[in-house]
Amino acid sequence: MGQDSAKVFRKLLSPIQLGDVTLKNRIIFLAHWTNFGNNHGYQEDGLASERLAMHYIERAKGGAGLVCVTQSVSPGGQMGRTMVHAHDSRNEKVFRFMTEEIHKYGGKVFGQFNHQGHTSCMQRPPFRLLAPTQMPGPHCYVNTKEIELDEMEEIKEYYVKAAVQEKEWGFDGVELKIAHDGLLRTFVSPYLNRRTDQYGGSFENRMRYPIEIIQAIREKVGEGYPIGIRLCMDEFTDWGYSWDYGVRMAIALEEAGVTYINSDSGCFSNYNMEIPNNYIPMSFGVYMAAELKKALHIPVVAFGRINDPVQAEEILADGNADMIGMCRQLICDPETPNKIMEMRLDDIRHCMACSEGCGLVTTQEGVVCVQNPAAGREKRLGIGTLEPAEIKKKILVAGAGIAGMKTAEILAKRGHDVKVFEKNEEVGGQMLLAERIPYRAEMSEVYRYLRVQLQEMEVPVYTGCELTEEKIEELNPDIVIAATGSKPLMPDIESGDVTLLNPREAMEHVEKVGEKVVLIDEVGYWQAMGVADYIGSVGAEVTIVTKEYYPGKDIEETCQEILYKRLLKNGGKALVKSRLKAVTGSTVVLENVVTHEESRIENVDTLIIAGQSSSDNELYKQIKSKGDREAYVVGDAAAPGTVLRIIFEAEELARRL
Amino acid sequence: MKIVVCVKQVPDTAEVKIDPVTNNLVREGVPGIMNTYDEAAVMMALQLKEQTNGTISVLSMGPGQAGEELKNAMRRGADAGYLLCDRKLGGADTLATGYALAETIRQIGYDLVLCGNEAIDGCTGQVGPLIGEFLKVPALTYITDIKVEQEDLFCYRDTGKCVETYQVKGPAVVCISDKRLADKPYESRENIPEIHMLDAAHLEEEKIGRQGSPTRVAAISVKGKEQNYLKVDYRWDCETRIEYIMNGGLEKKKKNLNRETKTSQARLIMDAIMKK
Repeated sequence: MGQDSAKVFRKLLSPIQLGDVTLKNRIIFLAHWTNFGNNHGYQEDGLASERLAMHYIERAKGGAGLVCVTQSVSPGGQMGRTMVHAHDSRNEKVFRFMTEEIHKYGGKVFGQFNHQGHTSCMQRPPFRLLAPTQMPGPHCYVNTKEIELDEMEEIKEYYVKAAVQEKEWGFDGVELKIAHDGLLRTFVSPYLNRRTDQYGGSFENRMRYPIEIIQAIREKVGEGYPIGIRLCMDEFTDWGYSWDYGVRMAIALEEAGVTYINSDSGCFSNYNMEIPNNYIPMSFGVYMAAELKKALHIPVVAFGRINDPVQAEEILADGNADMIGMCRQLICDPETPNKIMEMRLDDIRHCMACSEGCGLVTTQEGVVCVQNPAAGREKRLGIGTLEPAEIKKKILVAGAGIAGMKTAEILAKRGHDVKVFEKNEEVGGQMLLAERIPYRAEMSEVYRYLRVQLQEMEVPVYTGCELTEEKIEELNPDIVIAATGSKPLMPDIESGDVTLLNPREAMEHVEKVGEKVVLIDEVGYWQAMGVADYIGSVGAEVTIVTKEYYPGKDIEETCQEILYKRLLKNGGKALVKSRLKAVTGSTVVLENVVTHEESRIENVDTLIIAGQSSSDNELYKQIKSKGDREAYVVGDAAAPGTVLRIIFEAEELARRL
Repeated sequence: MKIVVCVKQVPDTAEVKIDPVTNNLVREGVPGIMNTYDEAAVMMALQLKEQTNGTISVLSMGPGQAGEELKNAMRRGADAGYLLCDRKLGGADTLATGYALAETIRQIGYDLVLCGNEAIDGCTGQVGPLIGEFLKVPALTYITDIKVEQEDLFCYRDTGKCVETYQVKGPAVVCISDKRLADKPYESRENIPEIHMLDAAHLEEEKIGRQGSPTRVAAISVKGKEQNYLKVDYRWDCETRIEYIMNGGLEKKKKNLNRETKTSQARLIMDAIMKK
């Protein structure tokens, strides 16, 4: 590339001092819930695991300057029982191993501590929830216990114990969470804290408890040990505070002696601003960091969908922040910092904020990633685990959808001789349709990244060229990979005067979609709600029909919420617990699946049925039945599914051959 | 009517990159195109040529490669191309450019001079009016349409709020601001005349090039650099804050796509055909 990354990313790649600690660059792997702790029952839970350690080590290996490790304090303080405990001395061995490894790569590691307070309800049934004032967290119906002074004292001691022992174990600093979840935010929040004692009522009183904890830790860890705060700047709720209050808190925290402020927004009552998905613009939160910069002298971390080095450098160069927080970006591509240093900018796999893999934590599952099969499986699939193939083989891949491209990428990286054939003019498969859904353009990153990888390795991709049996005979490969995709299945129904479309046709030919549309959701995924959003946005009147209690049942929850709002705002309707019965003329007849009551929608132009797809695997069957060479099937051609499964499956297959 | 159109070759801004180290435009290797407003002026000239049975000369000042734009104009129907090309002209500001072009136009001979309202790379909008000043003829800016009636030109000036109509007796300089004219289809012809190459011999040396250019750029700053982010007011209610963020700080834009309906024209025609 020739260009010197230290010149181009002058700020981003420069060191910064936090107390006695020097970070080698400005990129921080933000703390996040992983569910990677072990849970063997009450008091045998919250135990650090190898999987957890490997997850964080991987990001240091990838070049992050600082890695923050989410932990809970006090036995009742977990969000879920797989959240690792900071105060538990049994975690010493794993954490010593983790901090040592992180230091080997030149990274630093801070423990982020939190008592979950009223947000511990993620684990069902929940423990006793604690809050400054008895009331359920507005995000759920589980009521809380008003925390008593001796309980506060006990929790404070857990904070101090955790900080002291982790310093001993090799951690470089501590970060306290007064952010989107946890007990401390409920104390500072004027809505959630209604106490009348010395911990409520006035601003000073609301800040008292967190500041007492900071001071107690400071006393034990010494002056130069970094104590940072992850601070919720805006609760983004009707009842919550906005960033003016956030800045006021930050000033008080600076006075209390904290080392840096790590900005944050949203809360459990507004997930969309806490885990901003693709509907929220990239680096939307910079204004909050910028306001902090104006008010503070200590370093400030910017957050919020920052996934690109140019964007990051600009934020720092403009003086709007001192450090860049990246969480999902480094889950998606842990090597982002190293790639920046090597000026391999096109190789960076950008997080597209789909939250489909990492968002699984809310269902008590471990963090994974749609685009990065190694996320949560670092030990087996992480950096440096890809082995060159023992025998280099000649492999043809049919189909340049994501399954075919991902398989080809890994095969080529292992040294196989790979050629890819795509019958359409463009690569990307169904992602070419998915990216047309409003606000979903970033989905194209899946195939953009893969296309660049194939180009760089000079893997030929023949577009407009279907791989046929004859071609296979002619080219005589060792292995054929069929990634030939799927076709939408349509029920055999009489559609009367109504135009019948499948969701792919509707996305591709929006001009065929009429004014009044009925959309049957039989898969609960983007095929129905995504299409509804697209055609609703260009003015069609949509009624979406589902047998479930709500449409888009399997869509990631933050996107689901926005899609549903957009459906209603575009004048659409959802008819639940219903199914399609018949079409007569231009009337669509629906039936309630419980009561069998009929309802009719008249003057319908278009009926879109988002049903199942069927695998398009003719080629695979032909080669397999001939039996003269190896054949494998991957992606939709094996079983129609989502990107998460398909990318993983492709990686696994390609590592095996 | 003898029409002279001034055209400028500009870098294709869609292809321009910014050097991340120096913040300067990287022009090397960037393809040149005809300034869009000048293209509109050429198309306007073609209309007038047809109406008045006139001739069109196109004139450009710049390096040899600017001749490409003259050829482009001649393929569309201009009759002659003049390229004013001399090292002595280098580093000219708008004053020196206006002088050099005006003197050359005087030599070519003209009834009407058409210019683009501004160039998409410099955006000063000064060269057209300066030509008018040097030639001592009326200069009109922001013109979207011209009608010829006998000896008179009727020029329509779009101010953004209203359209003013000017009645002018030629000769005059008219600056065209309706970019849409550039997209008008035309028939391309293959046999075009050679370009007349001109040097600076007919110009006074102290009025051209760097010497004739009093303009100095004091400083360039990137607009709104400090606020290179969405600014959200804490006093707005929650829904407004979120809505504003989601729209990327913009008002919502409604997309309009044509979709088929049972009564749409296309459907009716299709039905009629199918019935036959």
